[in-house]
Amino acid sequence: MEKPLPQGINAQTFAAALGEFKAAVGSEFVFTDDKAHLRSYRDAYSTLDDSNFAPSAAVAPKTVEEIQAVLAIANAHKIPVWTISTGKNFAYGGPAPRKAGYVVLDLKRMNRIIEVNEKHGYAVVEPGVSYQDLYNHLQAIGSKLWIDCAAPAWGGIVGNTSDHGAGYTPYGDHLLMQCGMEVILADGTVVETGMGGVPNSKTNNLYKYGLGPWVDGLFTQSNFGVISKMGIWLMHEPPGYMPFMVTLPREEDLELITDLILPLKLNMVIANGALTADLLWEASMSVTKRQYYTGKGPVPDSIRKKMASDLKLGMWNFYAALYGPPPIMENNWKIIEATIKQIPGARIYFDEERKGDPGWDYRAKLMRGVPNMTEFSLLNWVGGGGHINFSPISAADGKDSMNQFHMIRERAHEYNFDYIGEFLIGWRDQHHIFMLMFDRMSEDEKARAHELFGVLIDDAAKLGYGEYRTHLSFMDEIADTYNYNDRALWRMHETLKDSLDPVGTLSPGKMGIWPKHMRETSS
Amino acid sequence: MKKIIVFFALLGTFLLSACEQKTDSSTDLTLETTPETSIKTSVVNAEITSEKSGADTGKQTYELFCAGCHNAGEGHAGTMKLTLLKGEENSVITDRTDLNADYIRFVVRDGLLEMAPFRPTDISDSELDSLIQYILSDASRSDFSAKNAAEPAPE
Repeated sequence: MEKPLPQGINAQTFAAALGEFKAAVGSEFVFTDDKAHLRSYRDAYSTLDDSNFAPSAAVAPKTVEEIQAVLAIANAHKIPVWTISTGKNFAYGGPAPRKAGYVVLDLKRMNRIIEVNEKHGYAVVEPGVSYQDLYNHLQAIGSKLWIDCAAPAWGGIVGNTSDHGAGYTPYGDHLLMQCGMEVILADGTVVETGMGGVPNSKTNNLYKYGLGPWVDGLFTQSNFGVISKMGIWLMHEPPGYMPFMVTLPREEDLELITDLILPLKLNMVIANGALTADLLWEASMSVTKRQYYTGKGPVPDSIRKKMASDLKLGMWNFYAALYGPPPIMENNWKIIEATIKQIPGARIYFDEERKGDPGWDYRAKLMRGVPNMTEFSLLNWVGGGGHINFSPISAADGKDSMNQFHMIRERAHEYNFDYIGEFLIGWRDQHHIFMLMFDRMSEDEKARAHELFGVLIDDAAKLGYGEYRTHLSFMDEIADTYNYNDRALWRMHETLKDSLDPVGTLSPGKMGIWPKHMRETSS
Repeated sequence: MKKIIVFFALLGTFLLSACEQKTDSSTDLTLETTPETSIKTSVVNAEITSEKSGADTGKQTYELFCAGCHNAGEGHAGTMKLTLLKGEENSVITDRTDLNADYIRFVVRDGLLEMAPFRPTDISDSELDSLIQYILSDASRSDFSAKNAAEPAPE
């Protein structure tokens, strides 16, 4: 495959820029050899061929000064640079850039844990620090702080938080728990947000909002600057922890559990990132589709029933946990138990009954912030590795959940795919994640999955649903569904883009935000 | 309630330690003293991210990037897949005898089916050499393998 060049850049200019990048970060940290290094920057899971997202090079700075130097070179030559941190944003594009030819700005080498504050419960980290790194570090220093991690442990704090990721402890809303940020603007200016604007401030990572507009959110899911440091609040280990699971025998129980749990979430009787996962998601932690069904298309109901019975799972499975001093947990449990008993056939499980079940074990770890990789077992469901997530926001409301579930399942079945999904309950909303699994070795499955995804975007938008995050391939389409008042919100983003990054080199096209010179031709 | 798992000190200890964290009444506040319990730390996994090789680097790289999917036992996606493809006896990569350095190098950088590739910033070339050495060595044999070796297979 011929290596792509950055948009509008000729080979001579590109060679000159590479030379300057090498001088800035060291030649061993500019990667151009496809076979030896650059192939590893591909998205291994998308519906499209790798060539759609093949970078021309990757540059890996180690310090703020090196980032500044790289941005200056990119600006001088008008070279688009696509920023990644740990690069594990899988199901949404991984380390790959939005378009072939971009240079990846890989911040994985910036992996310092700058501070852990035991008393106030926070850490300050660079973009390359993974959840596993921070967890290992806290264990090594004997800290009593918990992390809240994404399901796969190799994800990073800065990347996941800035892509609005969620976790499963009471600190599961990652951006809510972010406090203080260092951002490098396209012109190299270093900005400390919030209280960090005050020289020698002691509260950078204690109070989020500072004075004036709170801007941290502007640097998330965007391309207005490069986040080089972030504060993240960490929970003190509580005196007690009790995870539990409820299996729900009927599909329509999703409505009941959602409506019953909402008041407990609002009042923080259930404080953590609780979730309701469908049968197949949970089953895939220990079995594969082929072990139960070798036919074409989605697993038939009769087989689903057998699977549920064999694996002691429900059609839906609710997970949550109690935290705190035992008397509080005991009292809260009485309320929760009385609530769940209103659902006919619901069965409650605790650790002693499910220990050793991989589905239970990984959820029980995640709800106390112990990173692991078990969720990748989902990829074995059909084999072949392909998966992208369709992620609409739903109200934490029974009927709304059922509406979205039916909307997606019926389309998925029409396209001959299984519905595999979960509803992660936030403060008042739910992240509804439909894991669209397909065999990446099959051109037919890739094409069908791609088409289905586009249809789902349209279906959802017609009903007033929008997605919270998406894959590289669908950023423009989903951005176009946020079109109230003639795209007023995205037009505002474009105004900010043109002001903060006038040359337009930073991650062009991230979430459908394009710089002026690419707006007409790329979006 | 017996189901509650209590895994650290009693509530009394918890409150006592909180009371001990008094506010410093001194007006001479400096960054060094506030916040007073701040633990300043250095580069995480310094040994791994530096460009050195050797047995420890291989093991640490394996633990950080491979173990989550490839250790023995349930809950490991790679082992689960290899069990289906190659049988339980060939399911744990550190126990395999049919792997060679070139193959491991290719799979790490290129990925394979469900496995994503690893970038040179995840695992540098010299760390990859150490990782390969570790995977191919006896030092990485799993408990699963040791157990099977100790127990003769049934006739």
